[in-house]
Amino acid sequence: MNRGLTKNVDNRPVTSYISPPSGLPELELAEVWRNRDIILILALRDIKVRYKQSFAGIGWAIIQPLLTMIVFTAVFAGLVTVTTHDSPYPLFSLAALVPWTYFIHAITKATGCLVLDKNLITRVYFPRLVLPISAVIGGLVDFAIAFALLVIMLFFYSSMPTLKIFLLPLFLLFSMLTALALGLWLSAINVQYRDVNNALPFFAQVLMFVSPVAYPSSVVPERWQMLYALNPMATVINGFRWALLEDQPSPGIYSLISVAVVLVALIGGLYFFRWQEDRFADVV
Amino acid sequence: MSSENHAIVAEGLGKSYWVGGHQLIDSMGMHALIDRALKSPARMFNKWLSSQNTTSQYPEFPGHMKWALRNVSFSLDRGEVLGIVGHNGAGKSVLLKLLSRITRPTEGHATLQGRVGSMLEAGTSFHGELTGRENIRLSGAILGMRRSEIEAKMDQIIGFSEVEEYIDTPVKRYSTGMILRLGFSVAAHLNTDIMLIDEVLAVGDQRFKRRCVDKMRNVAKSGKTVLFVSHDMDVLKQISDRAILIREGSLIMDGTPEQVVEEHLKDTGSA
Repeated sequence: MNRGLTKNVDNRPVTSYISPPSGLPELELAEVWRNRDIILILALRDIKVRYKQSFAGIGWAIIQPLLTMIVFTAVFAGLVTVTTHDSPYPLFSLAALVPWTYFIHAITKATGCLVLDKNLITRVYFPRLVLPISAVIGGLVDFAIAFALLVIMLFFYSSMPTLKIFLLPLFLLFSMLTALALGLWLSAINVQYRDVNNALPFFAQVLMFVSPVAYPSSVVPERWQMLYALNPMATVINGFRWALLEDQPSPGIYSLISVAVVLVALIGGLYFFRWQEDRFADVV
Repeated sequence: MSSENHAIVAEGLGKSYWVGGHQLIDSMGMHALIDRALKSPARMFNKWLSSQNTTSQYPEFPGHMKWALRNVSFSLDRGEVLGIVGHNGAGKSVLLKLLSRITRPTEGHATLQGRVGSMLEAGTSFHGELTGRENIRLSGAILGMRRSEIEAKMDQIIGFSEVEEYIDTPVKRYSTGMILRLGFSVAAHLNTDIMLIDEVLAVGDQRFKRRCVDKMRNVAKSGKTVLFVSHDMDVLKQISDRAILIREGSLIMDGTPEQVVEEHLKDTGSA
């Protein structure tokens, strides 16, 4: 029937149906997977562009968490004292700042991605989900560089990692999914209401205070712990500390609450994004 | 719905846009909207409901619905080359945007059998900080080429664009002509079953323009199904098997290129 047609990447002939949007959109994640080349190439583009005309270059990936760690150490280990479960405060805070910096970077990039690439959206067709996904993946390069700094710090404090470190990728993956879940909602809203971009820095600041970046989540009273776990970044940070440092409490059973929050936000975000997607080219 | 030999079947395609600002927000201002919504939520909800499915003008709001394209039906056999004729703003580009899935129709539907490639605008996916070569990879991937395909065609693409000397220089140092040439060159090396081509793509000086048109002619003769928008009536008559005329959003003629061009020129008043 489809003799003579060129095949798609996975050797299927292609038929496209074009119709007005109606009802619940299909997610078409298989199509996103077929276009994974674009995800990688866009992520590479963002990385190249970010460092091409910059003097400090990849140093920026280190400068931000490093300076924040120094300030935090001066304030929370010098001026006021915060318990750290016997870890040196610089290590304690850096183990949180590395995933935190990645997370903020990823949601910022993801939120702006549709507007920044409106040239593409209005002129070429490809699955739009590719854009926020590539934003979240692109941030991993900065994460890797900042993580190298963290490893050096661990050596410096002769803190030997245990087998728990093998669970670290799980927490990294969880922070990626958290960033994507949020990014799907924010990027789609940002297409029509640029207010999102203005509110984002403030939102990030508030979120930092309700995340255990500068302090351990054990200072939160037990009866508030369930509420506290609604913030998935609490689980990410607790997970990073637990996997990398000695004597840190595990993220615990409440992390299941975080997982549930992210799953709901992610699936809802995917549908919301696909639903809004039809207007991107007309509205952006 | 569609016979197997048809590469493209479009039935009653239509696209409307809201002109005169966003329906509620822009006509009232965000603050007024929130203010009114808080004071009389029920009335606002009704207004919002009535603004959802409207095709006519509402006196409360300055904006109104405008059909950029309406009730367009045609079918195209595999390997056929269809010329699309019409004035600026007639809806030709909207039709190409609908078929290439950049935007979705308001009504009607279409089926396309086979991979679809579009040569609509040259060099728009380029990023100034990246080199010509890096941009070829970026642009090729976004247009739907596989990585291996891009690498295999890299030399051809660079050769056709005539910017070999600057291919490893950031594109922001290119002249407009160079960017357009490189952009055209990437799009021209797409290999899909169905090609949607906008002739404004033929760019640059006379000599390069001629090469662009030659390239399009080759694509058209290579057995692909082609939709071809053109303002150059001579080129159109040479290339297409059939043509349609679009005027003010409606398809008003479907026939041989000669007939359609004649009708189009009658309206233009310049023969």
